[in-house]
Amino acid sequence: MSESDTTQGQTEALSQAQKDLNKLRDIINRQALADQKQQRKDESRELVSDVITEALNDRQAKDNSISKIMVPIVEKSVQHSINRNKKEFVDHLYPLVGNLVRKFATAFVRDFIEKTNELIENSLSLKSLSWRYRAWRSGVSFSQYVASQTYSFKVEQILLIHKETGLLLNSVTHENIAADNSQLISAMLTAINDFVNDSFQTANLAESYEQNLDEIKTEDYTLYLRRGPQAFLVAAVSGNISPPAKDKLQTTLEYIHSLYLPELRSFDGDDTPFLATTDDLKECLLFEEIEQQKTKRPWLAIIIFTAIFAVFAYWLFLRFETHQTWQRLNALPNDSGIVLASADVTGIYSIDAKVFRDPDAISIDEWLANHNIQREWLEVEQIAFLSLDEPVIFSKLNKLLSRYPELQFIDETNRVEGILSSAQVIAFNQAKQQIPGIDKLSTEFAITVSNNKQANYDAIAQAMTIIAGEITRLQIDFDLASAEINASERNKVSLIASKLQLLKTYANANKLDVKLLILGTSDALGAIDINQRLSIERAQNVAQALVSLGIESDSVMTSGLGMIEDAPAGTNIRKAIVNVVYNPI
Amino acid sequence: MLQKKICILGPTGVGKTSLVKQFVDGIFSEKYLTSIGVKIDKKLVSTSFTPVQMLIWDLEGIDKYCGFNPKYLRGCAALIIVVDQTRFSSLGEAMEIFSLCRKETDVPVVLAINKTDLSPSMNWDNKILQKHVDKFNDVRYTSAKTGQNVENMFESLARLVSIAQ
Repeated sequence: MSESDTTQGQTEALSQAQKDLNKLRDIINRQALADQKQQRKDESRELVSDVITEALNDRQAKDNSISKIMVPIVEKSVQHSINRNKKEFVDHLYPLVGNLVRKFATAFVRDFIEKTNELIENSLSLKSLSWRYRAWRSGVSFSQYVASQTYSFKVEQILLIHKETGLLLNSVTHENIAADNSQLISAMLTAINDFVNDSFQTANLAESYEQNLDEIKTEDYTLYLRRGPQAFLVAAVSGNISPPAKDKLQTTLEYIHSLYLPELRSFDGDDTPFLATTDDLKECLLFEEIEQQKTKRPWLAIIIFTAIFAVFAYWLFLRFETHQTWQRLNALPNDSGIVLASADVTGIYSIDAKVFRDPDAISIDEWLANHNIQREWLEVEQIAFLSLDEPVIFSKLNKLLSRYPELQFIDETNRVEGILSSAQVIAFNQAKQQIPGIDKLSTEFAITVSNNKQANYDAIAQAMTIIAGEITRLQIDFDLASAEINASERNKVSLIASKLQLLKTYANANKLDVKLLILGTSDALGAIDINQRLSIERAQNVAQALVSLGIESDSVMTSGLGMIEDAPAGTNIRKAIVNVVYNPI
Repeated sequence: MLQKKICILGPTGVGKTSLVKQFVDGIFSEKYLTSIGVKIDKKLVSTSFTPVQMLIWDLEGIDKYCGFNPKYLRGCAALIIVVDQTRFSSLGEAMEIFSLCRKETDVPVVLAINKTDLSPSMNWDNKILQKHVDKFNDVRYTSAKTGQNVENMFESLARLVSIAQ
């Protein structure tokens, strides 16, 4: 082995030794470092465990970062834990949740019953009817109106009370409310709550549940207590607080807890930190005022009243007008051949009237128009009568004169003048005498008879022929086997008598005598002799009737034709036939 | 403002309510007392440190038949236990009350030996009293009738609780 080889071998050995030495050093140093590190860890752990709570609290107070980091971790942990131990969680939460649900349900049912009771109490009362009317007037539903009435309230005062000590942390009121006794009230409420809590404590399998005050009612106020872990919130409310306002109390209390929890926990009688809650508490001084009904003019009532009044006034006016017409009708003078018998008002613009009216008097329409009376208002029943009023007599005379154009009435002299044939004179005089009351007139009739004898004779003969024909056509009918003149046939007898008188006047002018030959007939039924006698009796009875009407007995001749055989079927042959017989004088 | 809840307890008839009446002009009637076992008054006391609004819970007289509602002690800053020096048995009863209170709270307690306007009971034993004195933060001889030490006691209590603040 050469020297160089020896040197190289030594160098390698030395190098290896150095490596081993380094490895050994590394091993020793690593252990030392590990020990050192572990020691530092232990020391740090001890240090951190001493201050971790305070450090977390400080950091949280500084930038709120702890909760940001912790919340997701805690949520995840809770979720994980619940998933793993559902049954245990249910067991633990069941009493708490059950109790919460029970209390919520109780509060809900109580609230519901109170509202329902109020609704029932108000449903049929006068107030209810008034509310229904106002709801209708306001255009809202009845339930909405009731709610608006029911929930009107005012939170008069809010007290924030420390739960443990009963000391007042802060209070706010409306400006007009004195709050001198807030501290005493706080203590008193706490004492009462403690008393209630102690008196009505109920045992539960898991733990004892405290019975706490929820509401205290007086005549004017209701105290609503909302409890938190560290503080009470008490609202003195007048009226009936609405559910949203109750929620506001609860959320405000929760908000105060979230902001002031450290201060609440460490409260030692100094209420200074809680002065900052004033604004939050003032937000709870809620109120819902009943909307005051503005003094509105009751237009609907005014319109209805005005309409009723107008209708009533119009009705009165119509009634007055009708009555006035009735009065004027009753006051009309009886000078026109029309006489008012009676008049009754039967309604508005409705009068029933009975009037006596001469047929030659003016018409009812004209009569009413002359006196300016509404025709359409009257229902007129006319009763015919003969008037002796001069205007009516003149009217009748004028009517007669209109048939004789040869005659004239001279107003100035009140005379009727003119020339007529003797036949016309006879006819005119006959007609004039038939005018009732004509004698009352002072009118003078100066009628000259025409001197044309042949013309007069022919005219009279013509008139006689007409009258004789008229008499002949008046045949008197009889009933079967009867010679008695029926009532309906007596008018014919009267007409025969009057026409005979006129005929006699004409005949006398032409120097003739006029007689009637009355022939009785009978039908072919029965014995011949009986029928013969019956026909004679019929003729004689008619003659007797004429005599009784003023006809001279020697102007009437009678005879019986007996029965008429072979008369056409349906022909009444039971008659008395009148014939005119002329004889020269 | 600093507020403090003070509870005043003691056996029946030792003069608790008279003491409070002497100190404040109460606004609640005796009816309240008989209804729920507590009567509450307040008075603002000025100390050299800060004014203290004292809410004084006057608990109904306690005897062997009738305890007190321990919830009334919650959050109180101090207690006053009153005994009647004319009735030595009231001291024993007061110490029982003290024991009950200590189960609920460890706040300062003042012992008021009342009715000093009258002669102490013949069997009043100061030695026995001395045995218990150390348990109290303060001991005062008071007379609700003459007002002796009443104001002092409450003002001292106000300082005590404000210092504790």
